[in-house]
Amino acid sequence: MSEHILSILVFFPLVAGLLGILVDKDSIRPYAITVAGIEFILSIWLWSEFDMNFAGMQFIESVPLIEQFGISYTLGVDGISLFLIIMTTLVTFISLGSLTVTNRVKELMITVLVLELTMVGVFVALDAILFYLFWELSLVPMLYIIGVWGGPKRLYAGIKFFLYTFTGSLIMLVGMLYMAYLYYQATGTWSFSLLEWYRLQLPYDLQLWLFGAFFLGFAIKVPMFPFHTWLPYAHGQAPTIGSVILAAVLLKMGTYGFVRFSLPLFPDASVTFMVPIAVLAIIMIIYTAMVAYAQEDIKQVVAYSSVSHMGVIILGTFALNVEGITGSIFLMISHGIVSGALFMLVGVIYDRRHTKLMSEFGGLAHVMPRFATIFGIMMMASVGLPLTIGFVGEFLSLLGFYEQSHMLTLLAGTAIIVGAIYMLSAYKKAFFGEVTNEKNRNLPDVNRVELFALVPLTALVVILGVYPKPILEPVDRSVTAMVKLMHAKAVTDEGKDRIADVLVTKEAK
Amino acid sequence: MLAPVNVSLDSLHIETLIPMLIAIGGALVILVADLAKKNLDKSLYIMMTVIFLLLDLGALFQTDLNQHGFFDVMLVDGLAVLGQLIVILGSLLFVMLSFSKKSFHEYLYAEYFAFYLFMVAGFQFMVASDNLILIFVGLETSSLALYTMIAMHNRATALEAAVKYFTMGALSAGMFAFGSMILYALSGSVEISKIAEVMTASGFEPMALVIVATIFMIGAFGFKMALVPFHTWVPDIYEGSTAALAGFMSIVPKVAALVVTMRLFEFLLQSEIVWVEIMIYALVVLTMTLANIWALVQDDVKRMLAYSSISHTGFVMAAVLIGTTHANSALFIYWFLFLFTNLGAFAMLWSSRSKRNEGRYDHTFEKFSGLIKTMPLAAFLIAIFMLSLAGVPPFSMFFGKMYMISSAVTSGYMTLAIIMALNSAIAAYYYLKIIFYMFFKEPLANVEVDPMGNATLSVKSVIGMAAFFTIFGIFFVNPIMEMVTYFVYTSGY
Amino acid sequence: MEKYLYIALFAPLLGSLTAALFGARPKTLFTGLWTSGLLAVSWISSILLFLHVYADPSANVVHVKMIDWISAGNLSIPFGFVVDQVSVTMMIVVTTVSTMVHVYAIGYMSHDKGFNRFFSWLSAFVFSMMILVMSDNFAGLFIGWEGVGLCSWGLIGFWYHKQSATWAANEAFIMNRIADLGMLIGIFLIYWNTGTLQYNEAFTAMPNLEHTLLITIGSFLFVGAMGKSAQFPLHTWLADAMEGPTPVSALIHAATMVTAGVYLVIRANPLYDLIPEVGYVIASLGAFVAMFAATMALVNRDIKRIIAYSTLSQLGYMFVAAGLGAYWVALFHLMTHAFFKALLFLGAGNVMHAMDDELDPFKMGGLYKVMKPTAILMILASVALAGIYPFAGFFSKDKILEVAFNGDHYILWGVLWVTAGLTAFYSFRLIMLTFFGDERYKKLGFHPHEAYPYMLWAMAPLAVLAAVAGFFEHSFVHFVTTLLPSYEFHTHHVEMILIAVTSTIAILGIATAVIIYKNGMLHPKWMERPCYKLFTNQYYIPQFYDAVFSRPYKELSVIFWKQIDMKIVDATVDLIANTLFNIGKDTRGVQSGNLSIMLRWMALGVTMLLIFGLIFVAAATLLG
Repeated sequence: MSEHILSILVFFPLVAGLLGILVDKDSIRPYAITVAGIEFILSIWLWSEFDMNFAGMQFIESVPLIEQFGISYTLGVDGISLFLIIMTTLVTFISLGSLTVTNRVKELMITVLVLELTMVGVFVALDAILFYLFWELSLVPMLYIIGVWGGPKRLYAGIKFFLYTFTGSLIMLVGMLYMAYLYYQATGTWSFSLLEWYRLQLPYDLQLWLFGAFFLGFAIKVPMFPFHTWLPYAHGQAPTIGSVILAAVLLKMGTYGFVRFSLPLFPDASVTFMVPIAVLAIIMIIYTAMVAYAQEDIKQVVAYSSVSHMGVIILGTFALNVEGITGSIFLMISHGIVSGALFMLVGVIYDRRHTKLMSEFGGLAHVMPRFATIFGIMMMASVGLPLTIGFVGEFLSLLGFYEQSHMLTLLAGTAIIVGAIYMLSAYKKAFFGEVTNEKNRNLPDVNRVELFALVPLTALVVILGVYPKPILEPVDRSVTAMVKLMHAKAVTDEGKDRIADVLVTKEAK
Repeated sequence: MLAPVNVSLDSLHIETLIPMLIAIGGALVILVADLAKKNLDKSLYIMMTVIFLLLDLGALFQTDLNQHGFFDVMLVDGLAVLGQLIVILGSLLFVMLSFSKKSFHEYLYAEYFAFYLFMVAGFQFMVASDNLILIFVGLETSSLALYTMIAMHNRATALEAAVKYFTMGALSAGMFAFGSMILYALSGSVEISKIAEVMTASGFEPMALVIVATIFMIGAFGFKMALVPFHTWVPDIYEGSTAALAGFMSIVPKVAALVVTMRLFEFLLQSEIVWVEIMIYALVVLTMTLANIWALVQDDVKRMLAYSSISHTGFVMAAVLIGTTHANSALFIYWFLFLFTNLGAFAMLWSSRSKRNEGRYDHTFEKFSGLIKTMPLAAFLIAIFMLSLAGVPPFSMFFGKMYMISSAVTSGYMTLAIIMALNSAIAAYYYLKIIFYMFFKEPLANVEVDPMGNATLSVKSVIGMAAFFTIFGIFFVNPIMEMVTYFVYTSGY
Repeated sequence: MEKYLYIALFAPLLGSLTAALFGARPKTLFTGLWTSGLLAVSWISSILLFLHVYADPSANVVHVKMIDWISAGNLSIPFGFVVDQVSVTMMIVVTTVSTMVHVYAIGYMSHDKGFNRFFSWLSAFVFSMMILVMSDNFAGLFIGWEGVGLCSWGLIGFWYHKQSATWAANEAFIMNRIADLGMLIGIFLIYWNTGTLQYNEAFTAMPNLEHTLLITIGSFLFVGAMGKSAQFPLHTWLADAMEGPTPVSALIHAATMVTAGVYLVIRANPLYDLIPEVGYVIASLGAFVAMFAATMALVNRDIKRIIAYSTLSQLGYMFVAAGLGAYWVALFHLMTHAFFKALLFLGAGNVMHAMDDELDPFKMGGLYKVMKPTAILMILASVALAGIYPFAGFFSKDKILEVAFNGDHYILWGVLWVTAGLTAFYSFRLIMLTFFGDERYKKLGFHPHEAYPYMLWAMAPLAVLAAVAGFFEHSFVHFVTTLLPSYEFHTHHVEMILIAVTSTIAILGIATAVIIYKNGMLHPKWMERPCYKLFTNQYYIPQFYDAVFSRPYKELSVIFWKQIDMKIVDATVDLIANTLFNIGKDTRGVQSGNLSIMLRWMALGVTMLLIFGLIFVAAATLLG
């Protein structure tokens, strides 16, 4: 059974979700939660089956879909994707468990399960077209979530989110098709299999073009400056569960794409584009952090803060060394957990007061001490305090990029300052001071359902902050293999020396 | 004193004619039946049509490939087979839609179905010949039949549409005649293959005439395929005629025209004349883009689909421009998938058709608002067809788009590929628009809408089939691809 | 011995966590006792460890590697702890002071509804501080570094209903973050050049690195130190940090956390030995800050702020010593200062309680009558601070002056010498204003009362240490110099003279203070003097920061959001979409539905193609 575990993992939510249509709408909640729970357990089972000492792809399944054109249903998982999958199933499970929406809840739960299919699919797909398939399909349920359960401007937000990402990924599709053509030229057979593509060593100028095509697709998804403006709208309008999943998982698809496709396929181009992209990343870090500082709506603060953090992730990815990439992947996971939790926390007050304006709050620490504490912990994780999950990734990413450029890292390092500024001031506005607004006078503190969602995440934040090894080790192993591959594939001298050969340095130690 | 030419019958390869003959025979039978007994029910006629189309299809599979017949005016090569296949299949599926719950004027007449079969025969002649004269005959047969059928809907708009269509059709026919005349003058032949030989021999001299001929041909077929700026008739005609017929027009006549265009430009593009290529390139890009942009601003779903189908035609015209086997097969694959998806889309409109005229349009966007509340299944089906048209995987159309773009990429048309990609993005907007109305808006209070009011079991089953192929298209792409590629390749395109 | 190490380290954490469980509940005395008890335990084990190490400094250094923390690529950071001469000294200082402060705080916070929360935070601070001093690598140090930052944030803003308090908390955190960036960069440099973050490995590798690189590393690390130890220009947060409860000020902002910077320099002595020029810069900055802070303390009208500034100036002293390579002297002063400064603060706490949190000494006076013990303790502390024989301050501070003199840095010496005088003056200005002179508080309607006895008892040990710590100098030197480089004095011939000179100015300072404030005050016209204004306004630096950094940052943020993000970046996206849409709107006129127009379009299409075609032909034929 464990050889089909990935297929099960991908399609279980869909099948169960569709069957869920038969369940009565008042009893759907337990059903959906159970399904998500089982899915989560399955992903844990995957982890237990996973061979930690093997760097390459595991549990590979391959069935030809369109032989004529080399499209096949190929799944596989390695250290890089494993924890993103687990993070996905966990966040889905928890956000379903703490769902507070009451209208058309059945639709919502089924939609989320379908969304889960696409999210898991993206992380396990090893065939470019299959990847693209899940990638695009994920837009539909998310659009649906925003469009039906969203705020007043949901239509605008939805269409913006959909078209923006859709456009980017279509350009990426052209890139993929060209990549396949190059493979065809080289070998005489069509193939979209990623593992096959890895074997291709492309000439420098082609790398640049292809990198560009893929970049557009990924950058809009991440979203990188200046393609980020769909995000505030999407978050602003989406219901809590939508924001949670969007921030925690959907954004990671972009950064994951960089690691899976851009880096190993186009090592030299990655080196060439490293500095421009780093500059973009730094703009993301500082500029969006300042924008976040200016916000009046606490949800927008969190939304912009994710852009800022994605900047650090990008930076780590383009450090092009094991430390940086490992860090960025860890940061993907930690940011998934932390931003997810933060959006849930915002949801908690929104459910109570139906506003997200910080001016409406103030002194919440008096009335909701537990809430304030959890929010505080998450905030500290988000500003990357050591011994919280947020630090490890940020530290490694910056550390990694320092090898490439001192000045840029110094600039990017301001992340730890600007991040503290907007987070602390937001916290001060919302939680400190006297209770000024009578409406807040007797708000109930977090209830059991909400604790069910928040406590595990809080625990994770601390546990993984203190002992990240279980995740870092396999990630590190796979990344090391990838960096080796990149070094081997690099065709330019600059590429060769920018991408340190892991073997050599390891021996040097 | 002429010596009589005696022709041995078997050298005529009559079997190449059989499919068309079946269609024509069927038409006659229907007329006779009508003469024999007045006002028989439409269901009889429909089923007879279906039967004869099935026979037609069967006969098509009997004919063996790559042979000339009937004084070499017939040519049954891969393209011919594929073309006829799509034509017959399309006709077969769309005629089923005539089983509408509400009774419409045209279905009361046997002639309607007779014309239908004549038209099919006409299209078959068009695709199954490389003789310009026979192509012309086929073209006219089908067109005249079509005009009448539109008119028979017996509504002010319908008659207007028929007239417009007829007039413009006449103009295009003239262009076709003129174009072929020049080609004949240049080559002394009306057979495309011969013309090709002679012209290649003469190095496409004199260039001016070649270009003029090309342009007139573009004019003629540009009209049939509704390339910008020859598209102006499309929205009105679609609006005037029933959704069923409109859907039919968006598929079948176009494929016939496409096949002929493919035959013609296959060699015209071989000529070293840059201008020809530039023209096609421009037409492709303009058609794709402008049609998309106009579709953005439509208030009526049928008109929107009309423009979208124009844009789709532009999309596949790229294949003619690129002209590789990859591209040409992409065209047919695309059209196969398009057939089913578009069938579904129009069928959904058709089943929501009510007899009274609400204002100017039959299918305003408002009509569909909040459909998810009133009839979820219908809403989901429409959504799926729209997403497929927008090219969202895993729905079938995506693979057509993908293969098409890939053909552009593989033969170095990078810019074109990007333009195609961007156009798909633009198109997504108007396909989403209806989804937004259906899912994110509240139902209209005043007018009651019955989205399945006009649907009978057979219509529903057609929709079901369309949906099935749209959703699980991914599993049929491979066989279709293999078949198409084989046919296209064997007929040397 | 390892188990003692773990006990010493984790007892405070345990206390903090248990207290946290009751965090939201109303006061439970238990938490106070429990945390204090655990700290006592931690203190005892520190003593045991000290004895162990002291027995044989070379062999008995305890070094444990608990678990791996972060390992990626070639980087591998363990949770490793080392108890050597330096860290054990720090441990004793930290545990001693914090135990006393905990006990004291039970009384001080007794009426506060955040009682449990307070002890949770306070013990958490101690835990972080222990990590900071015990870690065997830079990353671990950084954990503690940030940890104490967090706790100080929580404790400065402890009374979070006060705007000023939360503001000060955020200021402290952010300023420290700025410095921490420097620290982080220093760590990166160390990793990429030595391939490790372990102290011993890194330091052994350093001599092989090129000099400029070492200078950069040293400077960046020191930037980190500047933040924690509130050196100029990152000093403003310390004075504002006085918003926190007084025990916090005593523990964090006097005795322990602020000395972390000094500890870092001492710990990194192998590095700073290689780069004396950086050391000299550190020393000069230290001297400058010593005086700079002292001047501000001269005129301030807030007892806690006065003590805060004096802390600042004493930190300056420590940096002078550390910068000039007299690491053990710095450490020694760090220790003694911890004792008497904590004592001073706790005394101030008593005064505040007596005066219902009134801080302005000008509203006090004559308190000696009502609160004798406190007065005595504070006087003792002040004497120690002023550096009068035989109190602790005398030994450590004179050594620093001697170091400056010994290094032929006469300017530094001069500055420190003057500062010594100022120190004596402002300490006794405070004493006089508070405890002597006419009882100004009477007409303001205060009813001062002495603090609980056990609070005073908690202060007693500190008092004793402040009094006698100096006499352990030699054993101390002997002990720590087995790890730290010993510092050679060539000034024995002038030693006595130096001591005399220093003591005189100290005594002079005291004398002037006593005379001026014995009865009545400084003459009002002094307050008109520009320099007086300058001092009271802290050299206008806070205003300057506000005008140049804080406000522009806020305004810029708003501009970025409203103008750039919304009006430019986002607008462009919408523009593209709208243009397409409008093109459609404007050109749909093509679709008039009028037949003749349709026909014209078709004809037009063909004709255009023809025209262009023929032009093309013409061109082609002409060009051949």
